[in-house]
Amino acid sequence: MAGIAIRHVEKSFGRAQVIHGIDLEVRDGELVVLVGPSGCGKSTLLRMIAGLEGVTGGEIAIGDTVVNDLPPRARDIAMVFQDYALYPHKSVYDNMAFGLRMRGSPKAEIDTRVNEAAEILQIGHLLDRRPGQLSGGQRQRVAMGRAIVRRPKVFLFDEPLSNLDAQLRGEVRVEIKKLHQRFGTTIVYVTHDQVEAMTLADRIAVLRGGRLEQFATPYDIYNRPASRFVASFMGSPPMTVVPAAISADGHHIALQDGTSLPIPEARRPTVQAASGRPVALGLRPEHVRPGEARDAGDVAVDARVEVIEPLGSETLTWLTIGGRSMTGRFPPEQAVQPGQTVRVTLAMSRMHLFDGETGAAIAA
Amino acid sequence: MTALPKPKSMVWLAALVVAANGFFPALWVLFTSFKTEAELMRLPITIWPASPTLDNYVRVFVDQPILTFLFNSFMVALLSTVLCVTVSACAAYALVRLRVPMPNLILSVLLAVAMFPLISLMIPLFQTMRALNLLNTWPALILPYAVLSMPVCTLVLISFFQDIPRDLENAAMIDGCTRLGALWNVVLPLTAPGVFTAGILAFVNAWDEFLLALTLSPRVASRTLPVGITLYQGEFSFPWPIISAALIVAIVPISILIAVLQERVVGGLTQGGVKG
Repeated sequence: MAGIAIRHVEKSFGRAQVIHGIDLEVRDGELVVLVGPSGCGKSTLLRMIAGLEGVTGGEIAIGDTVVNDLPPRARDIAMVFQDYALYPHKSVYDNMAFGLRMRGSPKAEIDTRVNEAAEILQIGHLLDRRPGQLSGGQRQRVAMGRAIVRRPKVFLFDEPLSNLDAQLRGEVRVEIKKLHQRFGTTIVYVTHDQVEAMTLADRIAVLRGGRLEQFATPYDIYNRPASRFVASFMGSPPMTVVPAAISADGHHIALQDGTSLPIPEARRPTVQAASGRPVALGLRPEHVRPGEARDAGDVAVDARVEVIEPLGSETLTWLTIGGRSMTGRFPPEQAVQPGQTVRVTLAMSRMHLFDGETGAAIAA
Repeated sequence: MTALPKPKSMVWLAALVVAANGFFPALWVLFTSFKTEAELMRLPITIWPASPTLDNYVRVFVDQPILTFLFNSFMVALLSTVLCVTVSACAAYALVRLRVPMPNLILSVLLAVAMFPLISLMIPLFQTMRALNLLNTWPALILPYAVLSMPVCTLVLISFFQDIPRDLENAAMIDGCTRLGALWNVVLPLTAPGVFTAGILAFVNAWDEFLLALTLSPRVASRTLPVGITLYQGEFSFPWPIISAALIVAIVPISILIAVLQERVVGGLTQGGVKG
C-alpha cells in the first residue's frame, strides 16, 4: 500500500491546458474521490496517475517513487474502467488471471487468488463465462475482481457505476465501500455523481476547469464549501445561491428586490468585512423550512410555492422568496399547493456567503 | 421464428445469372479436365465428359514439375501474406491509436498507391530486383506482393482497430503488457476476423498474380503456378484438357483455404470488431 502525492501537476493537449497545477496528497489507505462536472479534468488526472496520460508539468509519486516516467505496468496500480474494459475473448477466470500471468505468478497462486476474489465478489459461478454473457452488474464485479486479485498499491476507479441502473449503483457502491474497508488499499475514485462522492469518500477533491476548488472531508465539503461552485455542485438538490448585499453595519443582508434579512449576531463580525460589496447568499434546502421562526437567528418570510416534488420521506418545494427561486425541504405531511403563499423560515445561522465576484466563501 | 420474406422471381433470376456467370467457367474447366482432347474438339459440344478420364491429371504431374510450382506459389503467397499483414497491422494500429501527424493524408496516399496500375511498376521493379540480385528468387515476388496488398489490408484493418475500445488496451497495459503486448494479447485476437480477411485478400492476390511472376521469376525452378501452367502449352499445341486439369490443381488449395476460413472472412467483411 502507498499514498499518492500529486505535486503541481499540469497537463496540456497541444496548446490547450486542461490541468492547471494541481496539488493533492492522498494518504496511505485513504479513499479520495475526484468529483466535478464534465471536462473538469478529473478523468485526465486519474489517467495521469495510472500512466495512461503523460504529465506535462509537476510530478506524481506513488509511495516514495516518482512515477512520471514509469509505464502503467510498472506503477503497481489496478484500474476499474467505466465501460468495464473486460477482455471479451477471455473467460471471467482468464480476465481476472491475466494480470497475474503477465507478472509471471505461479499457476497455483493465480488459482488461489482468483478463487478468493471470486468468492468475495460472489462471482464464483461465473468464472467460465465470457463477459458478453454477463449482466452489467456482474461485469462490474468481474472488473473489480480483476483489480483486487493483483493486490496493487493503489486502486483507481474511473466512473465505475455510471453504466448501472440506480438500484445496482447503490448495491455496487456498498460493495466498493466494503472492499475498501476489507483491504484498506488506497483508492482514487472519479465520479461526476456527488452522491457517490459523499457516500464513498474519506476526502473529496472538487475540480473545476482543471483546478482544485476544494479538498476536504465530505462533511466539510457539504457544510463548509470553499466556494460558490462547490456549494452548488455538492448536494441534491443543490444549495440555492442568490445575489445579495450586506448593509454597511453588517447587521442585514438585502436580496435584490429589497427584502432585508437580519444576520445572526454570531455571524456579524465575519461578514462585516464584505459590507458594501456584492455577495451571494446560499441556503441549503434543509435550511428553508415551513412555518414560523423558532430558533435564534431564524427569519420567517412569505414565500410563493411554485412547484412541489413529493419524494415520500419529504417534499422538495420550489419557492419564490424575495423575487428569487429557492428550494426548501418540507415534511411530507405539510400540504402545500403550487400558487399558494406560505410562511417559511430561513435558518440564517446556517447561511453561506460567497464573494459576489470571485465566488470564494466569506468565512463562516 | 419469423418467416423469411418470399423471394421474388426477379431476385431469383438475378441470383441465377450471377451464379451462372461465376460458376459456369469454373464448371466448364472442371468438366474439360476429365475429357480427352478428341472429345473436346468433337461436334456437337458435350458438357458432361462422355468417358471421364484422369489421364490429364497424371500428365499435369508428369509433364511439368507442378509440385514445385505449387510449393513456390504456396510459399510466396504465405510469406508475402505474413509480411503484408504484419506491416499493415502495425500501420493500421499506428494510424488509429498513436498520435501520427496528418493521418488522413497518409490514408489518402495509401489509397493512391493502391490505384497504381501494376504494369507501370513493372520496369522499375525489374531493375530493382536485378540490381538486388533477386531475380528468380522468392523475395523477388514476396516483396512486391506484400507491398501491393498493403494498402487494402491496412484499410481493412483500420476499420477493425477503430472498433476496439481504447480502454481494453489501457486495461492490458495496467495488467502488465507493453503497448505491443497489448496489441498482441488483446487487439489482434479481437480483430481476428479482420486479420483473416486481410490475410485472405493478400494470399489470393499473391496466389493469382501472373504478370510480375512472369517478369521477375521466369526460371522453371522458381516459377509460381500461374506462370508454370503456361509451360503446358507447346509451340504449336494447346492441350486444353491438361491445362484445365492444372487449373483445377491450382484452384483446389485456395478453395479449401477459403472454405475453411469462410465463416471468419464473411464475418470479417460484413462486421467489425467487438460487440458489447
